[in-house]
Amino acid sequence: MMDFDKIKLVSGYISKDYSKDLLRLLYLYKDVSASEAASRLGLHIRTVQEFFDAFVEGEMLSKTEVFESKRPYFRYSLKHDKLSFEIDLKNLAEDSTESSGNEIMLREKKNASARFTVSRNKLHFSSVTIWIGQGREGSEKKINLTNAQGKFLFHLPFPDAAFMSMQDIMAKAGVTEENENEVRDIVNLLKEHKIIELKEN
Amino acid sequence: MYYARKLKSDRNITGFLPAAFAISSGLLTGIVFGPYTAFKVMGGIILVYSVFGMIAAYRTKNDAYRVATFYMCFLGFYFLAIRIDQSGIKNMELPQGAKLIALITIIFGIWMIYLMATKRHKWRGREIMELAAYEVESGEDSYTDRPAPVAKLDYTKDEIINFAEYLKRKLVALPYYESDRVILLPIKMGNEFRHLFGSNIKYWDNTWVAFDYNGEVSAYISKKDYLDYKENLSCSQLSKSLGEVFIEFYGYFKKREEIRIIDKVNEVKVGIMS
Repeated sequence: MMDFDKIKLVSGYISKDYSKDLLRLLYLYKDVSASEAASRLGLHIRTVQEFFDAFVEGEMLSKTEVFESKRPYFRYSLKHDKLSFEIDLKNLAEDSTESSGNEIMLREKKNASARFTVSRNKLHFSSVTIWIGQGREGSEKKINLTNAQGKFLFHLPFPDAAFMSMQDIMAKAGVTEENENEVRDIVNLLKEHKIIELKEN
Repeated sequence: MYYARKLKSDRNITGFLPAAFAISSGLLTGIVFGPYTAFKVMGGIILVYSVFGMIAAYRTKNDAYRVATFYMCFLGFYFLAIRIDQSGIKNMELPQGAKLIALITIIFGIWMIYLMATKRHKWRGREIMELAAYEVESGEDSYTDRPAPVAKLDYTKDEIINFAEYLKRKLVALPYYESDRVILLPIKMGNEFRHLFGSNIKYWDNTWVAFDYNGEVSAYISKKDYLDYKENLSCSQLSKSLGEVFIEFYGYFKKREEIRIIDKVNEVKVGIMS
């Protein structure tokens, strides 16, 4: 399992035109220096160095300092013959969540700069429009809601009503646990824009 | 029961405008062209009003609108039928037919006054908003521009449609039908014209209570109606309370005690024109 940012970095370099040749070289050679690879493929040494360093950071290459000549330099070798990337999306969802549903008590914030649009013929919201900034600098951001998010927000306590836990609101709105992550995502976003206020239980 | 006024006093003069327009047009025409033309102009205007009355009567199925339509219709014909020469109103002539029309007009006029005095020609939005606010606490401005879920009830689609039609006939609320629900709008006097005669009404921007066909009841208070209260009221309580007023009405309707709905709105003492 790799860190998402590392995968992002390595993927960026894999998408380069010269990446296939460099990776082929790394596979064929026991180890190789940046200057050797650069001269072999006709690339700038700095380009190759950056490429190799990104893969070192991505924990796919090992980097060893050698002292054969006057100045020390680095030789790079593949750690594995196969490169594999694995992202657990659950971790991404958890990263954006501060605490579990039971611990958060929430309600709409007073004078929230948002407009909720009711879905025609349905008892839930179809979108929420948020005003960002003030005066002439202000802009609107419209977020189309999923059914679960719309139902959840429809049952969100009013600004003067008692706080309710996320789980209780979900139960009242008939939103099942499988939609919890998307509900939590919209809660976080609306909290960020001061539409929802939270209270730790 | 005594209901302390929570709404600001009604200064809406929209209800008087049609009558004021007809009378002032008559007076102006009378000054410029004489009484004969004035009566004809007023008769024409009143006949046009009777067409609007007919539309209102058709839309609401309300008896008072029907009577008012007949009254305006006969009054309009009466004005068109009378003969006045240029020497003035003292020489007014009433043909035989006009006398009969005058008699019918008087009968419908008395009937209409009776219906107005007994508030059967009155939209009850103001009473509904007072009833909704009765037990709601005042506090900080907590208005939010979104509806609130109120309750889940057990009813059939036909039952709720019959209920909505009853409220419409009695001018308690004006229903709008959507594919999955009925939206009931409590209409205040003076606001009825655009709902009855307007097109492309954004009714969902008004205060409403929705009964969906799955039994869910929700309520929404418009900003305009919220600001019509003298004090800032708890928005969550107000929305819930508004929904509960209609749920209570539905309870009476289901028990076939519809008259209790009218008794309840009559408990709130509001003038016939507000």
